[in-house]
Amino acid sequence: MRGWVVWVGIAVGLVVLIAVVAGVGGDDDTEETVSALEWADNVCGTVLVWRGEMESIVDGVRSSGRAGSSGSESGAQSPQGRSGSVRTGLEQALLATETMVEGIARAGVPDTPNGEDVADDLASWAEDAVDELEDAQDALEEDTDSTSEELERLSAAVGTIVEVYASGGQAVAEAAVEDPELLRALRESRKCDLLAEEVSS
Amino acid sequence: MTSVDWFLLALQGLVVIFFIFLGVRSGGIGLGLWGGVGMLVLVFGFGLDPGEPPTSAILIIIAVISAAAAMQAAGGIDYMVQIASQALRARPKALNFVAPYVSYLLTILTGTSNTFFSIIPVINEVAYANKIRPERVLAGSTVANALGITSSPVAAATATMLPLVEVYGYDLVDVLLITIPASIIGILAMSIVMSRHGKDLDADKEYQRRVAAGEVQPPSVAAEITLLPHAKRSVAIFLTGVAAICIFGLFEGIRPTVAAEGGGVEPISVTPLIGMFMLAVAALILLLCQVKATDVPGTPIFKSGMVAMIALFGIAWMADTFIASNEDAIVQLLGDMAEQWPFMIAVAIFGVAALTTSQSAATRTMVPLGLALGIGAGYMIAMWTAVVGCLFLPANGTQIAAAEADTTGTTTLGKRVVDHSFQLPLQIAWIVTALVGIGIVWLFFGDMGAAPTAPTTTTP
Repeated sequence: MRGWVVWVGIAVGLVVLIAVVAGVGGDDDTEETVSALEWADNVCGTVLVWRGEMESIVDGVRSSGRAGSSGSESGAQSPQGRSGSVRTGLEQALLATETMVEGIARAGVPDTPNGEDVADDLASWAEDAVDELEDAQDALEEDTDSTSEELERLSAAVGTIVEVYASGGQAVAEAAVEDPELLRALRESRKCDLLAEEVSS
Repeated sequence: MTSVDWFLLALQGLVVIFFIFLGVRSGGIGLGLWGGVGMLVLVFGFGLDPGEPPTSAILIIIAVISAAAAMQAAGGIDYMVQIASQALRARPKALNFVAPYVSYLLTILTGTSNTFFSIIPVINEVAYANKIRPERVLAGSTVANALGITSSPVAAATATMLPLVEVYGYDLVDVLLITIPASIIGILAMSIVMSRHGKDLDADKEYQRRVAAGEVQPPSVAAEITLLPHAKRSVAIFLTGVAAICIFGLFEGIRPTVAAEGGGVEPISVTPLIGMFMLAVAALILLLCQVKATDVPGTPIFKSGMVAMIALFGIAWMADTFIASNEDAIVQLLGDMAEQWPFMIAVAIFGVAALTTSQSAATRTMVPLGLALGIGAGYMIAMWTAVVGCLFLPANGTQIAAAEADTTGTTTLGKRVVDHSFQLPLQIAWIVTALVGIGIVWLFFGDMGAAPTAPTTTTP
């Protein structure tokens, strides 16, 4: 088989793939008004995925901390290893939270009396979470000669990751508390149900 | 990142590509040696922290090559070639299709590409003995092997993927119902093209040059092979070892447990098991097949394996050094592209896997992004198979081992970094697999982002 024919076929296949993906995905409702149930589904799905990511990040950071206190000598257990895993955890948490901000923005505005305020509140919470993680990252980057100060900063960074993670589950429900119609949609959404189960477990 | 940061990143990337280029041009252990020079430039010139050398892959190559070389010294490879040649007598080209599926199955059962190292020499010898251009079979099998990761219930990448899509009602069975049929068709399309790819050995100038120079012996006629007395026994021992790895890979419960990082215990991972079983196989062959330990290092399989090991050491270490320092920037760059143009998400997944050579990094970073962009979870599962893009650059252990095993010179790591033997099967496999996967989701899951199986409940 002639080489160029195959490569032309591959190029055509790639174009078809991109066209198919364009056809099936990328539902962007940014600033558009959507039904309360659709909004609830989108937002709770996004927050659920984010919580899953944050859970594994928190587990990773905590387990490196536990290993560090056990006194053995692998890389992840030394102070440098511990510092490295906290930094990596922060970077991953930031990336996951930025992705969530994008997902919440794309969910649009629920078609309820307070929908716009609720969407704004939730977006603000997500952006605040990004700011907190960025601040923690900046604090870690500052120079210090003192080991105890470095440890304090590491501890504060871990605290920030855990706090942001813990706040995520409640944020959706709290944002919608003033909007009975939206609260009803949250109860009807299977994904919001799952989120509620996750938070309470 | 500032423009200076981007400039430095691009410069470091060019350094990596330049030294891979020098390595593939010099060939053999030159790949590893130039990788070492690249390390010096990255660490001393750019101040990067040294990355992790590919210790696990190197140790596995040592173990697997010891077993395969011991089997060769016992005449087992000759026996396998004879059996395969008899089976393929009517249709020798069937090897182009059988070998990739065997490689794919090995990965599904063990959850790691590392098992593939054990059958690379066998695939090469069987192809060559049947006068099949080894590149067709080796390159296709290497890609099929990597594609097996997203079809394996026990792979780490699958464990990373599942929690992300479970939220949308997709469980492990759903994921495999999408990825396995799609991959089977992708491998078939790839094998059809590869079975016609390149010149036959009789017409290949590089191969003819090697034969003329005495660098490679013409293939033995299967009927004329004289078997050593314990050839069959060595094959039985070797295949029992491979089967044991597959069984332990598939059933976590029967593996010994080790202390888990976060406390408690967990099953030992498959990678050390491969090392243990393969070294034990080599020892049993020495013991039961009357092979002298001193004969093993003299076999062609042992020599090519050692070359592959050095090549992998330098090149993968250099690549990891670059990637470890720049992974976030690469993910950000391709993530921004996908945010801007969500229809490029499959290309972005492929790109992240290619530039980080990591399937799990691509899964961890790009799948949540795709879901946040509103792409249905089922479609994301179909496109997730694009993580096979980790073979885009010739810095992967299986690629290097396959190229080194092929003494005919048809399987190459390329002259311009991306023009290696694995590129064509890779491109065919990932595009067809992703397209078929999307078709499966569209037909059977009706995915528009909603959970397919979770019932809608109303809480009072």
